[in-house]
Amino acid sequence: MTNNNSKLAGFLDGTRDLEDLLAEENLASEEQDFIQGYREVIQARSEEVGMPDFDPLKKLKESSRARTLKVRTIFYAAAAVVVIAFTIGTIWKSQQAGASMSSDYSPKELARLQDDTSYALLTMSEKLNGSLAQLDLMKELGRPFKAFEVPQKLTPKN
Amino acid sequence: MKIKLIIIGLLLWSSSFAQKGMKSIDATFKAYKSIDNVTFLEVSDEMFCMLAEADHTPPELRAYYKQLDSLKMLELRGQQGDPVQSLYQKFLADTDLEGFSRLMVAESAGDNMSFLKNKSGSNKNEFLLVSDNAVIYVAGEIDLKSIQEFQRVLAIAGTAMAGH
Repeated sequence: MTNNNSKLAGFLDGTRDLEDLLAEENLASEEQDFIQGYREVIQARSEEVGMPDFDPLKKLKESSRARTLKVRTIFYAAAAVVVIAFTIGTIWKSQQAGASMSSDYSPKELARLQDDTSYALLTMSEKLNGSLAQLDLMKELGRPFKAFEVPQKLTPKN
Repeated sequence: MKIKLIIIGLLLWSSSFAQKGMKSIDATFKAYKSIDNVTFLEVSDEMFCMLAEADHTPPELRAYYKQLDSLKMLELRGQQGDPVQSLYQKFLADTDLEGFSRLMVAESAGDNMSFLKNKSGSNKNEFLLVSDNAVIYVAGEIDLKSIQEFQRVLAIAGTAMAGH
């Protein structure tokens, strides 16, 4: 007992550590109770201290996140307004342009333009049809048509 | 060193000579429209849309106009056949027609005609008719058949050009 007390006394003095004490056999019941109690105190202390679930920047982060979200929302809203305004402006402008273009020409001028356009297209159509008819005729007559070359890829002239 | 300079000079001279006189179709039309005895007509895509939507336009022509993107025409008025050089020869000599295929050429004294085509898109084509007294350029979603058919379309529309 005296020996055991000296073991405990050594631990309490700090000359022995807990591992040495635990390694000892034949410990007295009060020494075992002391070790058990000491373990419980250490465990309780470690549980109590533990890893704190506390973030000192939590509120700052939350406010920053909220601010970012707000800025983003405002940005998207502004972009949507710009896109809508641009679309409406473009449609309005094209309608105005179309209306002003139509109003720039009187029915008489439009009819004249249509006549000129038809004349140009008709000339082209007639020339093409006339040439094709002539080609057919020359074929039927069996005459050489060396003046006709079909087709020929053009190359830039030097 | 001297030889290199001479070679560079010759290359520059020959490249400038090669490009001399070759203009795009647009540039040639622009250059020729100010000539005194020439009538010029240009119809843009926007104008074709407007013509297609005009109240008095017959439905057959409406459909036709919607296919077209551009029309340009030069026509000689009055005295035909330039004593120095005809419109036919001058236009073909001045214009860069790279990419165009010559579909048809009819050449005889005083009656020359070339018909050219350039495929400008998946279903878009450019057609160019050059004759002694007129040059006509048409572009759009058209083919040879639709050009041939215009006579019939116009006849159906009942707007034959009696005045011209």
